[in-house]
Amino acid sequence: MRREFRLTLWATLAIAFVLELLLVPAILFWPRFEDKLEMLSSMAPIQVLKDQLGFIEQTGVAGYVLAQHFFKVCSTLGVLAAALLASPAIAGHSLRGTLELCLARPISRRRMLLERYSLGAFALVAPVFLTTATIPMLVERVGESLDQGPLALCALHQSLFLLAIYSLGFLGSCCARNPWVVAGAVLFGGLVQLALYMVETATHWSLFRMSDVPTYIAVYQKHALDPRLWIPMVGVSVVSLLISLAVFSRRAP
Amino acid sequence: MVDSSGIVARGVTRAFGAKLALAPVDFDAKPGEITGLLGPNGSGKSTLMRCLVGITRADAGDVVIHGVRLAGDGLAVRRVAAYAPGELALFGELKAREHLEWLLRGRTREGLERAREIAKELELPLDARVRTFSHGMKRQLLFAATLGPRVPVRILDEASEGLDPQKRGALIAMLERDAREGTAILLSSHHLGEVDRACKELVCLHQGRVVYRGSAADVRARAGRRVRVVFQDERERELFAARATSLPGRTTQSVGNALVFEHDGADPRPFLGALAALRDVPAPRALEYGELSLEELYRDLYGVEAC
Repeated sequence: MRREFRLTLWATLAIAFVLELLLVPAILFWPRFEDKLEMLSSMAPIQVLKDQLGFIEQTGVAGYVLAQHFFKVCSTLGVLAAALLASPAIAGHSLRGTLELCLARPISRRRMLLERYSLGAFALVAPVFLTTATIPMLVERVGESLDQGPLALCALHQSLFLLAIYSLGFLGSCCARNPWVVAGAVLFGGLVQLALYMVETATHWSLFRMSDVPTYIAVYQKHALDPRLWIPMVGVSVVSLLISLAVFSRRAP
Repeated sequence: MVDSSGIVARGVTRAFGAKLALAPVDFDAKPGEITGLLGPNGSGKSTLMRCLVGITRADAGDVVIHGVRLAGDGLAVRRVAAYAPGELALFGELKAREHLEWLLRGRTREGLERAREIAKELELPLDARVRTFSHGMKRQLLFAATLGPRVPVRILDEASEGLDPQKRGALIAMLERDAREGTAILLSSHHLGEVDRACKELVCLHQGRVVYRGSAADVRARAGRRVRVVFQDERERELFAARATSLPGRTTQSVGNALVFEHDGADPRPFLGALAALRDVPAPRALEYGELSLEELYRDLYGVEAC
C-alpha cells in the first residue's frame, strides 16, 4: 500500500497546489473586479455569462468567490483531475502488464478495487476541501468575510459532482485496457457538456447546470444541499461503483 | 474444505470467445514433488495456471488446492498457494526491497523476511530501483517473492525464463529443496533440461488438452526403448527405411536424416543384432540409444524438434 499511498499523497498535493494557485490571485483581484463588474456585465458576449455576472452583482464577494473557485476552477480542472485519477486505476495496470501481479496477491478483488477507488476519490476531493478552507482567510485580505460552514457545504456539493464523474471514469477503467481511451472519453464528455452549458438554447441539457454559480449561491445562502441535485449525483457514483465491482470480479488480466 | 493436498484439477475448461483455451483438463500435483507443465506457446499453460489461482475464471471444472476448493475470486486459494506469473512487468520506480513488500502484501512478516533472504542469496541489490534491473534480475526478484511465503503450494509460470545457466541451476536447487520440505510445486517451462532434472511428474498440454500425463521416469524408460539411427542424408534414410522392413519394432519418426525406432523390451541387443545383420542398406553414421527422454517426448507429442 505504501506505493499507492505515496502516489495518492502526491496527487492530492499537486491538485491542491494548482487550485490554490488559481484561487489566491482570483480573490486578491476582487476589489478591481467589483469596480468593473457593471461594465463587464454589459460587455458579456453571451447570455449565460451575463446571467453569471448578474448573480455576482447581486451576491457580491460570495458569488464571485463561488464562481471563481467552484464553477470556474474546481468544476473544469476537477473534470480533468477526475479523468486522470480514474482512468489508470485498473486500465493502467492492464496497459503496463502489472494487473496479473496485482491479482496474484492474496487480497480480494473487492478490497483491491475499493482501495483504489477510495484513494483516487480522496485525491480528487481532499484538495477541494483543503483549498476551500483557505477562502475565509484570503477574503479577509481584501476586507471581506465569508462563513466557513456554507463554504464547506459548497465544497461537499462540488465533491459529489466530481465524484460522479470520477466514478463513471473508474467504471470505464474497469472495462478498458487502455487508460488513455478512458481519459479521452471523460475529457471529451466534459468538454461537450461545458460547450452545451454556454449555448443558451441547450444550456439546460448540460450537466454543469448541477455545478454552476446559481447552484452554489443557493447552497451558500440556504446552508443546505439540494436533494434534487445531490441524490442523483450520489446515485451515479454508487451505481457506477457497484457495476465496477461486478465487472472487476470477472476481469481477466 | 475437502481432504486433498497438493493440486487437484478436474475438468477445468476455459474459452476466450470461440477459441477453446482449455479443453477439460485433469491433473494432480502432489506435495513434495515438482510437477512440470510442458507445452508449446499458446498450448494453455498460463491460462491453466491462472485458472488454478482464480486470476482467470474457469468456465467449468473443479480445482482444489491444499484442501481448499477454488471459489469466488480465489482469495482462499491464493492464501495457500503462491503464484508467479509468466508476464514480467514490475514497477520500475520501486526499490527491490519495496517491491518485495508490495508483492507480499497479504502474507506474513516471516514470508517477507524469507523473500529478502532468498533475494540476498541470489545476490540481488535490494536498495536499487527495479528499473535498473536486467530481465533476469527481475525474474529472480519475482522468484524470491514466490518462494518467500511458507505456503503448501507454489505455481510458477516460466520461473527461470531468461536466466543464465548458473542462476537457473540455483533456482532449481531452491525449488528442489522446497519440494523436499513437502511443498507441491507446479512449474511450467520451455527448458526441457531443467524439467528433466527437477520434475517427477509431467503434464503436457497441446491446444488446451492434456496430451501426456505421467512420471518423468516413465518417459525415460520409454526413451530407453528407442534407437535413433542417423544417416548421411535423407536419400540414404529413405533407402534404409524401404529395405529395413525386417527390423524388430516399428519406425516411430523420420526426422531430417534420422529414423527413430521403438522396439520391445528394455534390452536393445536384439534390435542392434538385427541391424548389424542387414545387408544392402546404407550404413548409419550414428546410433543414439537411451537418454533422449523429454526431447523425444516433445517430438512425439508436438511433432517438432526441441532443443
